[in-house]
Amino acid sequence: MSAALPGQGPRRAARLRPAWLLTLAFLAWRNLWRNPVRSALTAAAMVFGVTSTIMFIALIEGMKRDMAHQVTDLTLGHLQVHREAFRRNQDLYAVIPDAAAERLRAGTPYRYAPRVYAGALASAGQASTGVRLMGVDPALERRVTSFHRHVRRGRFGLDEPPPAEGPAAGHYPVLVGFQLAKNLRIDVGSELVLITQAADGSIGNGLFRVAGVLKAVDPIMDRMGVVLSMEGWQSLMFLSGGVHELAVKTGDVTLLEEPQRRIAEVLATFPGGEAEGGPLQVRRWDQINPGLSDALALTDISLTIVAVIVLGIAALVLLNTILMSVFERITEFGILMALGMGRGWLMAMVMVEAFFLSLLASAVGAGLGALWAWRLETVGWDISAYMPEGIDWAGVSLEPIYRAYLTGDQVVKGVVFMLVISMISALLPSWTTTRLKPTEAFKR
Amino acid sequence: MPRFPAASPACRPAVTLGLVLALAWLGVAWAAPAVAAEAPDVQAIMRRIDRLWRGDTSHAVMTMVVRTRHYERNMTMEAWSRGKDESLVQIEAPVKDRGVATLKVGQNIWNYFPKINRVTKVPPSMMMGSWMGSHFTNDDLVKESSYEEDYTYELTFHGRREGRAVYEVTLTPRPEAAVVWGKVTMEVTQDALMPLEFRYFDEDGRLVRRMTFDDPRRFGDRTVPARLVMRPEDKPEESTTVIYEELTFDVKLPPDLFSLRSLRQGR
Repeated sequence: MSAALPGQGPRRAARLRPAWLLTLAFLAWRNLWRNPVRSALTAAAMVFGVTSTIMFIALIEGMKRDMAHQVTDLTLGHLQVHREAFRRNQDLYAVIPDAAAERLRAGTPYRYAPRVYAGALASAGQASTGVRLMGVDPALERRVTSFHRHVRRGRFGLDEPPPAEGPAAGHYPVLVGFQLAKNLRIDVGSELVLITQAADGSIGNGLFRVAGVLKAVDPIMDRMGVVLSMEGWQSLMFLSGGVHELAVKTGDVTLLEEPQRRIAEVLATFPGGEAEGGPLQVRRWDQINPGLSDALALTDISLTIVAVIVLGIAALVLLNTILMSVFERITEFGILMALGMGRGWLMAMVMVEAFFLSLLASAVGAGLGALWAWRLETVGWDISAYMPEGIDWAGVSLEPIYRAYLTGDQVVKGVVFMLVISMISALLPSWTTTRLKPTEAFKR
Repeated sequence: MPRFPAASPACRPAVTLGLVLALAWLGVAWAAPAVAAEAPDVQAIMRRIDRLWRGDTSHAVMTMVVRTRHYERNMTMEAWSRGKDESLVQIEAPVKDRGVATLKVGQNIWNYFPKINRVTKVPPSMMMGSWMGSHFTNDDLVKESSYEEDYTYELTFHGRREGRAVYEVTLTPRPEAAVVWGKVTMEVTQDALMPLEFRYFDEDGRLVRRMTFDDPRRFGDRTVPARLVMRPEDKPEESTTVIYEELTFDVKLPPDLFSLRSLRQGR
């Protein structure tokens, strides 16, 4: 022993000297590597715990972001305007008057994308099925959502006019949900027949050309969605004026109360009686899809539970290791006590051993976890082998490429969590040292 | 067995009130069977309704007026049928829908659209959808041919209603039948077995829609109601009216009339 033993004599132990702490740390570090295999295995278990916790947090965070993005950036926008009757039962005639849309564009600094909807029968070859038509203004839609970039195969193509001649002359381009494309066995370039009940009572029917197949959007869009330009939609539906929906994009998705109030003020100046289809309403994305915001809150809880379980198991491994090493060294501890080392110092030494081990494991785990999560963030995890349809959760469909999202916060959380749980679990083995009596210790 | 619901509320207190009134009750009880002289045969009523607008074959010209909150449309159409299972309807007017045709064979329906020159089969999911913008559904066309397999009949009323001697037959779906109605009641006149009103109820027993029949007209050797009005209960201002302008029975039809090929060619 290089320095004087710490805690010589119970009375002097009260005064703390830095040198003693150094000695303690030195002893603990040496003790740790007296059984390198055991320490390394324990560290490995803890590394695994920290790594997988960080990974898991990053994956869930990535999924949450994907879902929120999917909902706001992709289809919903930040806010939406509807007629009450349209929201309630998709009433074809419950439209937002064009004047209201113009007043909103002129009077508020937000961007608006008009949309129209209708049910129809789509058929291709022998197969036919019910679909939901969504008519958009391609130029305005681009400024509000990233729909145009969400094409799996083919092109967005809705802003192109139908070809003037050739076999597809006059056929407006459409985008179809990927599940619908599969069910109807159609792909880019296929002809699609759409039949519906037009707004004037006639039987709307027309030939369309599939310009692209969409990526996963939401269950309804995936299975029933046919997106086309306003003109294409009108060529079937003959609706005289107005739209069903305005998707709104504001400056900041987290500050929506003010825009909601301003839009509502403008809307209140338009009549909203029974004949028009009820009042005009503006709602935030989390009001439109409350299931999603609830689901996001739920993930945070489940995340904590999983982290506690994984790290708890790692901590139990640590507890076992430290306890074993304490039992092996009882004679040695007896000698130390006989030499005058206080019980408190003995316990501190064991605690420091546990701390070193978990610190080491956390550092390695944090590095590995961050590296892995970073890789999953940039490359993504292709789960299409297990879930070829993608993930379908809380009314949002996600692509079968799982992307993590790593923040420093997650790494710190994982490490701190591991250290705290480790120290708590190390209390038991280190406390047993305080119960030792030197005489009994020698007998062992 | 026939019951006397119209008479019994009036007569039950009569029994308890004494002999005089009991005698009166007797009079009512005697009078009741006199309304329906012969025992009504449910099967006969149903057979009669079933074959009313349809012989072995038939040819009809109809107008259909669809009134909704948002539009009113007049359509003229020509229709052919053979037996219960085969029918073909073709729209003549308005010009915008001219040539649009529907072919029904058994449980299948195909539509033909001349503008795009395509035939599409109506999938099961669209069976409850409106047929040609009317208040009839595709399902109505298909189910028409399977009433006997889908329902059990029961005579639930016979007596006078609104001054007319009528029978009321209630159709209850068989447990295994894939039908949308919880119950259908058919009111027919006793003398000529002429339908007056069909009422369609959902599974909770709520009246969903009613179809009324009037304007009896003679077509060849039969008299049938020439006007059918379908009214949904939840939209009282809406209706679909079908008026038979011409109706001939047992006409000679080309053997391949009810085929996809003739549908595509405009018969």
